[in-house]
Amino acid sequence: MKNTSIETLFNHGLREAENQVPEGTWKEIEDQLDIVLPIKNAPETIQKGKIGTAGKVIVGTAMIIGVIVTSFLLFQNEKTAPAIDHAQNIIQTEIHLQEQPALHSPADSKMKVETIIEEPFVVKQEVNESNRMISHELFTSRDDINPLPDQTTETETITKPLQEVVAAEPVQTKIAEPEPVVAERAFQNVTGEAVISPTEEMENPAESMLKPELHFNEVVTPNADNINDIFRIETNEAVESFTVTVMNLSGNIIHQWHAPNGFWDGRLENGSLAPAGKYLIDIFVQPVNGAPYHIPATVQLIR
Amino acid sequence: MQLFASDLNLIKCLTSMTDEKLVRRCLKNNREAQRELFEKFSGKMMTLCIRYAGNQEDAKDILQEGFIKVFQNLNQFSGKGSLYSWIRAIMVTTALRFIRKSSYVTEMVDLNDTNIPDNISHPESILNSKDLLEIISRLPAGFRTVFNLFAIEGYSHKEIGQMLEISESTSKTQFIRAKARIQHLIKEYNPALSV
Repeated sequence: MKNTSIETLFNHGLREAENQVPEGTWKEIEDQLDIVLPIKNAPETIQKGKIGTAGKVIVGTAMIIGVIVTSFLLFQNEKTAPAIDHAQNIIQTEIHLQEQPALHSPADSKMKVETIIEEPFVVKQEVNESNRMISHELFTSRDDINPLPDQTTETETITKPLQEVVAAEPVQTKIAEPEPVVAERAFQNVTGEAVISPTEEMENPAESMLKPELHFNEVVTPNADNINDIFRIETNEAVESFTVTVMNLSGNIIHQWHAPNGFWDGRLENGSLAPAGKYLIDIFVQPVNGAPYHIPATVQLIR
Repeated sequence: MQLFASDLNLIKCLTSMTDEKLVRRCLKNNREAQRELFEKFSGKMMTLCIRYAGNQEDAKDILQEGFIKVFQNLNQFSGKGSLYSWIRAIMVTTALRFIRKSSYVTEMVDLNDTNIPDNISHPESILNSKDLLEIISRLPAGFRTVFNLFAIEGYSHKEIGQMLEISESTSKTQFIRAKARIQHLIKEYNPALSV
């Protein structure tokens, strides 16, 4: 009877399983992308440092609007005098905010204020409109040049696991280091070295692509002489992850591990010594590039 | 056989080349390419998100947040590993951050029977990936997180301890308890299964 451990069952059943993505998910992502990574058709110039030009164009537009409105309103009297001061304050704060990124000269904004105070209510609306346009543009450009603080922190948190994943092999070598005698002597034993590389004879078209390699001993002699006392797997960096299953000849699982530093010491799961004899090994390899595959092997347990 | 191996190799190579092209297009902020990338990986990533979130709604939130991060940080993708595993790593981090908001180590469950056999007989024929996902979703968040990280993502208990800021031994006990709980759930899910 074939038995499967819970880990294997879930690992094989779910690791590559696909699920229906709820409808509209991409639309929502796209909407967010429009904020964090806006498409730059016209603003592309902004990104490349021509902020001055773009800014001037926008301020120029705002001024023209101001001038038009002013000339249109020249005919009207200053009957709203008390309201002007208040409105001026509002406008000035707005302009002050707008000045923060310093994309246009103070002279420009002064001129704007002067033109605006003639008639607060109507003009304010106009300015507000141009403001919105300007501030949107500024946000865009600022966003591109200096990412917002919270984005920076996110970037940092992400980089960490990435490096861990990409550079998984330093961890492995570190782990292998403390017992080099065991490992190296083990592999040069009478039975020789088992090297499995599925595409070894192939001329690899992509030079950057490493072939997955797995090294392991074919004999286990758990007698504490530091030679082949344990069964373990060593891989190169082209192997992203692997699962090793040790089974007896009737297919019952004796031991299983995923971690690169996992091993089998010739014991059953309950800690008692496994009987001498042949054991089946199944290595489920997930290479960095490409589809996962199984490597069947055997190991001789000698007591 | 040799021919087969060469074909396989070529396919692998082409896959990584298409990924590279896709990444380059995405880096130009091409929405069409970004959608392509999303559609290519979203199915598997959805499963991953459900595994950690335990429900569809939260999974969708994690998926969205994760993909936004993917696009924002794509310029940091070195091209050394596969794009797929890079995206996976981002999704896992995003999911963990999401779960961290709710506590995951607090839920300890009394188990009167901790000495449950590890193996299930012939479960594949009865439990498909949907069933497995359902079972995982019924686990308490703490168990689910550790079980996912160890059994499916393949991290070691030491790494999990660092990721979740818990001790290595806590990770181990959480995992053993998670497994015991899964045994119960499988039995509940399908009493016909010999556990």
